[in-house]
Amino acid sequence: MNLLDQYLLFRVRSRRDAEAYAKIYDRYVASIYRFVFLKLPSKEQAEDVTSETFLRTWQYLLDQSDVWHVRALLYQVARNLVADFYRKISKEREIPLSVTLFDATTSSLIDRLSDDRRGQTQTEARAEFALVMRSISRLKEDYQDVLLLRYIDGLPFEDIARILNKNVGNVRVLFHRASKALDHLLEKK
Amino acid sequence: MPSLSWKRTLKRMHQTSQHVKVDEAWVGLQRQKLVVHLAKTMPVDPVSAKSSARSYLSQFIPARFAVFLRRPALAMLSIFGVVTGGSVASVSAAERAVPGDLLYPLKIVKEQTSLVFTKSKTDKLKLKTEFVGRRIEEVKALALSDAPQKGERIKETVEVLKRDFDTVKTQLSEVKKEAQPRDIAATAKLIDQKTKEVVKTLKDVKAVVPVEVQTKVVEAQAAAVEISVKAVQALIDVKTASDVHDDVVTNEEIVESVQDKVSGLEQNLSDATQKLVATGLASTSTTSSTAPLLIVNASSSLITASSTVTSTQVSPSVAASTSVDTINSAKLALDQTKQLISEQDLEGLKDKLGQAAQAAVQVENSLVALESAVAANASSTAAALMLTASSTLPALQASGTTSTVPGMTTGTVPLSVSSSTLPVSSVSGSSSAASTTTSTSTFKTP
Repeated sequence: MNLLDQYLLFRVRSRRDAEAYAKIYDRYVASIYRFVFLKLPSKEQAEDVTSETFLRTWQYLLDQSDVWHVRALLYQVARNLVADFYRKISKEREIPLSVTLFDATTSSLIDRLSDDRRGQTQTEARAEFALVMRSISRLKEDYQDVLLLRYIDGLPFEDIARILNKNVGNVRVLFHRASKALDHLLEKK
Repeated sequence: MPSLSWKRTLKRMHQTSQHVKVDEAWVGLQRQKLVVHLAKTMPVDPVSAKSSARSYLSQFIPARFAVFLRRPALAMLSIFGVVTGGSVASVSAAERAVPGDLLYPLKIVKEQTSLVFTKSKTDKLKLKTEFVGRRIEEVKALALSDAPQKGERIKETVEVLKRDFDTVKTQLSEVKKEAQPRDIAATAKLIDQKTKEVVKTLKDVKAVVPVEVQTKVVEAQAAAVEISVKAVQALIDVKTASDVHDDVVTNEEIVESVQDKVSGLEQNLSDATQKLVATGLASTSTTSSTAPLLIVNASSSLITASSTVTSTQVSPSVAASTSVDTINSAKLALDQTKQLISEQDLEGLKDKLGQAAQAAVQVENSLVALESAVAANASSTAAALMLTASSTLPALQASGTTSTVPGMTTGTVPLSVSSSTLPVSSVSGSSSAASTTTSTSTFKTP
């Protein structure tokens, strides 16, 4: 685990060092922003969720003793906040739960997908992506999570483990099986 | 669809995220809000030493192994207690360390770490200034203590201090170009305040350190004065910039700061004048109505004895007249500065203050040259001079040789031990005055 993160985390937990936390902010604000940006409909919402993530993580660090891994914690909090956002919307607009979190983030992702450098048109890229996501949605939830966190969010296994509340070994196995399952699904087409 | 291409498709989405630009301004704003929030939500109850030690342990040791540590737990806790410091009320042991202490390197490592991970130039500079403050605290603590080899340690720390000042100088000019006026002003004020403390402490410290260290102290003082002048100049620049809000830096603040420096420089100048007069080589004359000027004393015994000086050496008379000139021009510059203060002419002040500081440095240089000239002169007419010297040169100190009168050596004649704060230019050409140590200090600065 990253030594600097460890040191900063130690300062925050044991000394309530605000400066150390501000440095944690500096280190991860961009990553968290990118993480949530793709999943949310607008820039403003991404900004709000990012700020909220750091505020809540601070509170969590003050209250809880069981934190070893601040980066992973940040992603976990951010992910939960994105989920909260969509839950709130579905409640507010009284959209039935047929519009799942997965669908909402998928459509958001599709909107964000930028042009492929190799000349494939945006439409094609989006269609391809939509297809893959549809197949993924047919997998079980654990598999979905691992694949998306690994490929789209680019997170290391230890972070994924924290987010999914499993241990790293499990996550690797899950990942391997999920990849195979998706291969299977798409081969049939 | 072949198996690999879905991975590519998903990764493409990852690429997209990586190209997302984060709004820098928003990041900065949020950071400020965060800091405010942190201050507001800071819990009131202090962290107990035990729980902080426990969290230190849990942080760095996986839970599984912690079980094995339970038996020697007290030993572990006490070790961590030393490293992380005792209760939250007392300052951590590492932070109290002075050069030569066991934990001092740890303190420096912590400082360097925090410097490396500070992003903005302004923050880096502020942090550096804080560390300068720490160095001077260390010097003060060392001076008061009975630590072994404290002279050496003080010398090294002062050396680091001087280098830090050079860094601060460069960084300040960079910050001036890049940062927001409000940040520049805040940083400049911080620097001004810290250098004031430094100059004061160095002045006190000079009295209690051995002679070789004193030259270094004087050099550091010169660097400090230079930096504080630059800081005020930066403040004036900010003030006179057209689009800056009035409360970023007020006229009063600038005037106060400038006056502070002017009185410091005046003090130095009067000390220098006294010294010069004490040598008998010059005296004050009240020919002008504004202030007594110095003139060379033609009838001084030292000057008549100068016939034996070799051609490579500056004769005392020449050195004396140089000194007189520098002192007079420094005085003039200071008077003009005071005039500009009353006129509240900020632009003019900026330049004049710089000139005055430089003039003060030249005064110091000239006095050093004078001393070496006198010393050189003395060695060649040793006996006769020593007898007359006893009455006319009380200010010069020597690392003694002969009997009753403090003898003068040809080599290093460091400047007097009177408690003046004459800034010495660190590029003083007179090799006889500066102690030419090439000790490689262990305390490196980035």
